[in-house]
Amino acid sequence: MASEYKYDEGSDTWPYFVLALLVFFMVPITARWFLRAISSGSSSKAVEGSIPYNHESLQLANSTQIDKVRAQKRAGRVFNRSLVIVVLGWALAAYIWITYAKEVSLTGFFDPYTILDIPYTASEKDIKSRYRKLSLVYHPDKIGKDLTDKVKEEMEAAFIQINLAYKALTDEVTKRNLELYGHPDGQQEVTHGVAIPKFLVEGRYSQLMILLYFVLIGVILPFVVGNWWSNVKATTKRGIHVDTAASFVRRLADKNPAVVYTPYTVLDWILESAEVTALRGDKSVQEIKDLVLSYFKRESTGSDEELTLRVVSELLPLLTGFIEIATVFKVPDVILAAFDLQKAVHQACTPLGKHRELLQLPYVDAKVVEAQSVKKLGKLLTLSDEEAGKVLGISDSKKLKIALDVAKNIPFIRVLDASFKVPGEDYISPNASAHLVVKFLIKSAALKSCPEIDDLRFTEEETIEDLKNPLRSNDLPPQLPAAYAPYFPGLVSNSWEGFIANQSDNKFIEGTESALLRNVELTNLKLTQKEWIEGKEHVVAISTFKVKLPAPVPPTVGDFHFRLFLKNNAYFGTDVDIPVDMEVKAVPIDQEAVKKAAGLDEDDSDSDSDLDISDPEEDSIAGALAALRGQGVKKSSEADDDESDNESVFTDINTDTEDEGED
Amino acid sequence: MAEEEKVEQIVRISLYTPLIYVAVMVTAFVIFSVQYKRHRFQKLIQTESLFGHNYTTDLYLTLKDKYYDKSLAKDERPPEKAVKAALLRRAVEAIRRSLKLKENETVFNKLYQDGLIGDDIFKQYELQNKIQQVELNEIVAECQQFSKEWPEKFFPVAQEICFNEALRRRLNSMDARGEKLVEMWSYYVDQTEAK
Amino acid sequence: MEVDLRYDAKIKGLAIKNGPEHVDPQLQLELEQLNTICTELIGITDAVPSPPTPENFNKDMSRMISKLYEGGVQAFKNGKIQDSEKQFTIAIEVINRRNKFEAFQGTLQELGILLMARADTYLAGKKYVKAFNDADLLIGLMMCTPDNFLRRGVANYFLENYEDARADFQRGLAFDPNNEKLLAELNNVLDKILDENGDYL
Repeated sequence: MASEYKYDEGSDTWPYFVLALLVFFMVPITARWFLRAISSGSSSKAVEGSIPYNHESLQLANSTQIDKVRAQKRAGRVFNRSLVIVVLGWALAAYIWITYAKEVSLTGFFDPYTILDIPYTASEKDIKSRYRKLSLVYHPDKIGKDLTDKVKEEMEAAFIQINLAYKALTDEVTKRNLELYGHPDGQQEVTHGVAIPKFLVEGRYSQLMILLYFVLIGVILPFVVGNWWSNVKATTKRGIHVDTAASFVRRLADKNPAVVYTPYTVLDWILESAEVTALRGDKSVQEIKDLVLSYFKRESTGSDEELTLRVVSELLPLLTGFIEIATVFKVPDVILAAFDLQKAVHQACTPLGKHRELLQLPYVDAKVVEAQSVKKLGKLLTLSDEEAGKVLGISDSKKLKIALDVAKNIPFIRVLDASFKVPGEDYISPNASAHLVVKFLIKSAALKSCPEIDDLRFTEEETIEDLKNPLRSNDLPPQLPAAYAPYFPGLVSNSWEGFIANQSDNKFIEGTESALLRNVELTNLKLTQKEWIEGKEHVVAISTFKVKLPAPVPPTVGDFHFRLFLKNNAYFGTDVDIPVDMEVKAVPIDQEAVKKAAGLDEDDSDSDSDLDISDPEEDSIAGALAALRGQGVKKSSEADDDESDNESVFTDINTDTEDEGED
Repeated sequence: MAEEEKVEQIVRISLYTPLIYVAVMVTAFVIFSVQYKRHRFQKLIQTESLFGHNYTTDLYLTLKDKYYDKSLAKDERPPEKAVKAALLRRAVEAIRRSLKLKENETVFNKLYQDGLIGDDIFKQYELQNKIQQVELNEIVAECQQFSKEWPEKFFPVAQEICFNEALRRRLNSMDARGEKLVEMWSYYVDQTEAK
Repeated sequence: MEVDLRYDAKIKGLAIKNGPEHVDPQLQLELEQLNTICTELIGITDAVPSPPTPENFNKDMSRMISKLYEGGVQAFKNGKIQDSEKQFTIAIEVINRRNKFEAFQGTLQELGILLMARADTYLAGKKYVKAFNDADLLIGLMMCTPDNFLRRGVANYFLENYEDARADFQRGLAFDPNNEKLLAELNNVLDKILDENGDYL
C-alpha cells in the first residue's frame, strides 16, 4: 500500500493547524480566568438581621481609601494578565477562521443516488431512464462547442461520475467495491495530509523545525510544568504560603510554656509571614506593626492609609490559617488570643482590655470609654441616651443613635441547654459516636433576663436522615448576614466557631475539627422586652447547633467533663464558654436474658447452648453494631488493651516537658 | 511515482544511532536528578531548624577543646567538672527536644495529611528526628570517654535535670508573666492593688 | 557559632571572653543554666552526680524549708501577712537553689505546698496578680485540685476577670462536683456577671 505525504502546497490547510494549536491552549487559559473571575466574595444584599452600616453610611474619614482597596481586590480578580491573553488569543483565532477557512470538500464520499439525482427508492427502470437522460446532457459529444475549456472539463468530470454512479447501481463488481471501500473504483490510495507547507518539513527548514520541536518539548515544556508545579506547591491547601505555614508551625512546635500569649504575640508572628513581607516593600516590620496599631486606635496614618488597609485585609486569611494550624496543636491559649486579634481586626479596636465590647461601636471616644466603669453592652443599653452618650464620649445625638442601634443589633447567644447525644439512643453508651447538641436563644444586648422555655419545646423528632447525618440540622436555618465591620476593607462573613476541650487538662479533644455555626435565625433581635419575656412559641425562636465529637465516647462508664467554646469571629462579648457534662451509662441489662442465663446455669454449667445465638464477639462487625445499639456484646480477651488505648485519647498524658511528674 | 520517492529516501542509519540516543538521554536525566537532589538537600539544611540553634553543643565543644588543649595556660583551662557540666547540659537539651518532638508527632502527621503544611517543614521534622538520634549517640560516645560506667548513670540524671530546669524556668518567669498579665487586663497596679 | 569561654573561679562558672556586646538571649539563658550545673557539680564531692534517690535528697535544705513553712503559717495565723509572705518566698527560693540533679518529684511536692500557702497569703494581702501567678503555676504543673481552682478563681474575681473566674470555678467543680466553696463562689461570680451586664435573673 502506497503511503505518501501530501503537503500543504496550496496554502489552504495550514490555518487549521494554527487554529487547532491556538484553541488547544486558549480553552484551559480561558476556563481558568473565568473561574477566578466569578469566585468573588460574598454578596452584600441586605439580609434579615444584618446591621446595615458600612464605611459609606457611617461616613468614615478613610472611606475613599477603603473603597479603593476593595475595588483593587475585586478588579485584580477580573482584569489581569490572563484577561489580556484570553482576549488576544480568541481575537487571533477569530481572524484566522474568518480569513482562511474554506469550505470543506468531502472528497471520497460517493453517493450514486445523489449524483444521478434520483430518490433512494428508484427502481431499475427509473435508474436506466435517468442515466439515458443525463448522458444526453453531459456526454462529451453532446455538449456545446462554444463553452470554455474549464466548463468542458467540469462536464467531463461530471459525466465520469454519472457513469460511475450508474455502474455502481447496476454492475456487480462496482457495487461490491462501493460496499467494501466506499468508492466504485476500488481501493483508493491512502493519503496523509500534512497541514503545513513542504518546505518546513523536507526542505532546508527541516533542521530548524527539529530544533524548534526539541526546544519546545525538551526545554519549554519542563520549564512551564515545573513553574506551574512550584506555584502549586507554594501554597498550602488553605491558600497560605508554605513558608508562612512553616513559620507558624515552628513557633507553635517549640512554644515556651512560661510565656503569656497575648493577641500582640500572634500579631508579631503573623507580620513575619511571606504575604506581609511581600506587601511591606521597604518598610520594616516594626513600621508595619505601628501602622496596624494605629488602625486599632482608629487613627489615620496619612499617606500610608492604603498600605495600612491592604496589610489589615491580608491579616484575616492569615489569621484563619493560623487558627487552623494551631487547632491541631490542641492548646487553647494561643487560639483564644488569635480570636481576640481577629475580632480586633474586624472592628478596628484594641484586642486587649476590659472595655472592648464598647470600643467596637462606631464613633466612640476610646479615652472616655476606658476611663469609666461601664464595660458591657448590656449595661450600656439600660442607661438613658444622655448617660450612654457620656459613657461612649459621643456628643452628637445622630451618631449616638447609630452607635446604640449597632449595639442593639449585635447577636448574643443565651444557652438554654447543652448535652451530648448518640443518634438513635436515649442515653450515651461506651464507644458510641456522639455529638453535642446546643439549644440556645439569639438575643440582643437590650433584652434582659430569659424567658421560661418548656423543656418539651426542645425535643425534636429524629428522622432517618437525622440518624444518618446528625449535623444536618445545622444547615437548615438561614445563613448569617455579613458582619458589621465598617472599618475593615472588605466584606466578611459572620460565624461562631465551636471547640470542645477536656476540663481535666484544658486541651482540645484529639482530632478537633472546625465546627462552624453559620446558619442562625436572627428574628429574636427585633423582639421587644415584653415579647421576649413571654417567650411564646412562635415569637421567640429557639436555635440548635450540633457539634460532632471527633473521638468516640470513652469505653468506661462514668461522668466526663468538657468545656465548649463558641468563638465569634467579628464581635466582642458574643462568645460562649460553658461546661458540658457527659454521663456514660452502662449498656442496660436485659432482665429476661439474665433470668434465662441463670435458669440455664442451673441445668448445665455451659451457658452457651447450641440453640442460643450467643452475643456477637466484640471485635466483629456484628459486635460493633450491637454495641452501638446498646445490646450485649461478648468482650474479647483483648479488652484490657483496647481500654488503655482509648483512655489515652481522652486523658492525654501531658508530655509537656516542664512538668513530667510521672504521677 | 510513490515507488521512486521511496527509493530516493532510503537513509543510512547506523546501528549505533538509537543506542547513542538512549545513552545521551539517560545521562542527561541522571545528571539532572543528581543536581536537583543536591540542590534540594542544600536548601533543606540551610533553612531554619525547628528548634533554633543548639548552643549547648557549641559550649560543650568549646570547653572540651580548651580542656584538652595542653598548650594553654593553667588559668585558661576549665576544670574537668565544667566540661562534665557542659556535657550534661547538652544531654538535657537533647532530651528536651526529643520529648517535644514526640509530643508533636501526631500533630505533624495530621497537619501534613490535611495539607495544612508544605513538604519542606514536614521533611524538616523528620530530619530533626534523625538529628536527635545522631546527637544522642554522640553524647553517649563522649560520655564513655570520661568513664566507662558513666553512661548508665548519666541519662537518669540528665532527665532529672531536664525537669528541674524546666520548673526553675517557670518559677523565674513569674515576674515577666505578671507584667504581661497586667498589660493584658489593663489592670493598673497603682490604682487598685497594694504594692 | 563561635563563642569563646573562659572559666571564672570566682563565680565557679563560665563567662564569655571578648565576645560581641549584644548576646542572643537564648545563649545567655544557656550560659546561666550551664553555670548553675557547673557550680553544683563543683559543690559535690562525687566525680559524677548519681541518679536521684530519696537518700540523697538534701536533708538540710528540707529542714530549712520546713522551718520556713511553719514560720510562715504561724505568721499568717497571727495576722502578720507581710511576714508570712516573706517566709514563703524565702522558702521557695531555697527550693529553687536545690541541686538540679536531685529528685524532681520531691522538689515538685515541696514547691506545691509552698505555692499554695503563698497564694493564700497573697489573696489575704490583696496582691491579686501575684496570687493569680502562683495559682496559675500550680494548675500549669497539673496540680489540678479543686482548691487550686478556687484560688485562681478568687484571684480572677478580684482582678475583675469575671468570665475567667467563672470558668475556673466550673472547672474546679468538674473535679469535685459537690464542693461547697466552689459552688458558693460560682454563684457569686454569676451574680457579678449579671450585674455587669445590667441583666437580672
